[in-house]
Amino acid sequence: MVDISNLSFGYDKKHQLFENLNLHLSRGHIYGLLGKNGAGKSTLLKNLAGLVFPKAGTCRVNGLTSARRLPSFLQELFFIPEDMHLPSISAENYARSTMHFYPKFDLSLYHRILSEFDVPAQAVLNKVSFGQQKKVLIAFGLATNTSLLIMDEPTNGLDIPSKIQFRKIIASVLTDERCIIISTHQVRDLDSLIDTLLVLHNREIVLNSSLEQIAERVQFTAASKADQEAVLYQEPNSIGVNTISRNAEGTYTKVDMELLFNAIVSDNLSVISHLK
Amino acid sequence: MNNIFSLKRFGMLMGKHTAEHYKSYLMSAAVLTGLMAIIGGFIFYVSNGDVPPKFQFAIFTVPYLFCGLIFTSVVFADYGDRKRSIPLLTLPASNLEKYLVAWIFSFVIFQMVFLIAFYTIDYSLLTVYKGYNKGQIELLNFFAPGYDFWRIFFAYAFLHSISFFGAIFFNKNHFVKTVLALFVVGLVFTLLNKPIADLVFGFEVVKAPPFSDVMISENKVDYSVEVGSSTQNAINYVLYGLVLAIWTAAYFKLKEKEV
Repeated sequence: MVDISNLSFGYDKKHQLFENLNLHLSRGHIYGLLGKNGAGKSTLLKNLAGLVFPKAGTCRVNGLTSARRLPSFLQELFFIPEDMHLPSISAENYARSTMHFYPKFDLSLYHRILSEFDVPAQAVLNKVSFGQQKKVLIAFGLATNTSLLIMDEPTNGLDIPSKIQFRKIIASVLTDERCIIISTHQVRDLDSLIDTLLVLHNREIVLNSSLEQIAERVQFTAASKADQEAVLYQEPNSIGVNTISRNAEGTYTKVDMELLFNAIVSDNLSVISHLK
Repeated sequence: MNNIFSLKRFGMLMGKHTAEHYKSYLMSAAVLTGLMAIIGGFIFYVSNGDVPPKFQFAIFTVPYLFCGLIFTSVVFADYGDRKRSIPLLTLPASNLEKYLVAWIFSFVIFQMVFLIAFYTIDYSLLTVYKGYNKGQIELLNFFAPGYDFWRIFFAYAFLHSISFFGAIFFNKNHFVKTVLALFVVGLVFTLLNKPIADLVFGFEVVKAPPFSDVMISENKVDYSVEVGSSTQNAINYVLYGLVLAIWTAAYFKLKEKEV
């Protein structure tokens, strides 16, 4: 449903954020987009949403070019930005004035999520905290039932109980018809949430694999349990050393996203090439 | 699905815009009415209520153009702010519908509200001072024979188009930047007009302000050269075309807006 082909983009001619970037995303998945600060995660999402225009290449969602921002494209996409502005009306009135633009909007789902987040529907949006505003926008975005939901740093501003609630809610609304992209620099927030990992590094997508595929190819273990000859990357922590090693035995371990991310952004080519 | 214009979607967009902005618009209308009451009241007071239509026109003109310019210059302000522009640009409505909402509020609704506020104040003041005018009330008629009052609406359209374009072109300080740009363009026109007129006439003219008569001197006698009525009509059509062109340019600027 998302097709990015040979995308090149930069805010100025000298500094390209992406060069010939290619990406294909499908429905029925929750993608976690990781990258260092300044890698261009938000910019990539903006390209997808048609908020900035590619310098070269194409960016299509459901076969429609993002940059044209046609209503038929926009009604199948909802973008939750990192920083947001909401009007000075209640959460209820916000939904009532905006939901008609989204043909598949589910008002009862909106109310249910607001209630789970403990946000009163009569709360005036610009008078509540940033975290509360974010919850309203997340609830609205999920209730739109658009085929593509983009969230840029959605957990920023959420307290710990709300983050847990967020994970549960996201998992409950994923259907085969939806594609959800979550960008974050807080890797732990994606634990038990995403099924596919995207890593943006050095102006390209260096990893686009499901957690299942990753677990098939590599193991995440303490150094003491790892086959030293199979180790691709290791990193000391407070109680020892964590490793990523080739999964020769077919033993599945839980993917340590933070360790994998660190391995990739430290330009560990052996990990990257083994996962490709 | 019509991706260019849908009446239903446009109606929803008007409704959403109104729901989110009506409080600030009502406050602005109240301030505008109060301002005109103060200005009008002062003029009626100092002239003992002897305010014929052409003075009423003067009371009308300054706040009409000035407030219109200010209001229009901020009509796209949200598009210049990264946080505010994202929900606007990603809202499922066409660029034309988004453009028309801003155009209708700043051009049609503003003028309607302004005219209602003006005539309310004007009629009230004329009624209060009726005794000073032998009991007669003569309201300003923009289409009164012998006067060109109606031309003010074209002046508004011209200023609106410039302010409207500035509103989408600049991201911040829309009003100041638009007025500054207007001054710069006006200055360039004024400075270039005379040398161009010199070239056209083949000798040095006395003065040649833009869009106006040319003053020439012969045997120490100054003559004003004005264009014929058909040429004046052609100039008017060029100016109408210019307004349409600037409005169109604003549409394309909105279409190309990035965050």
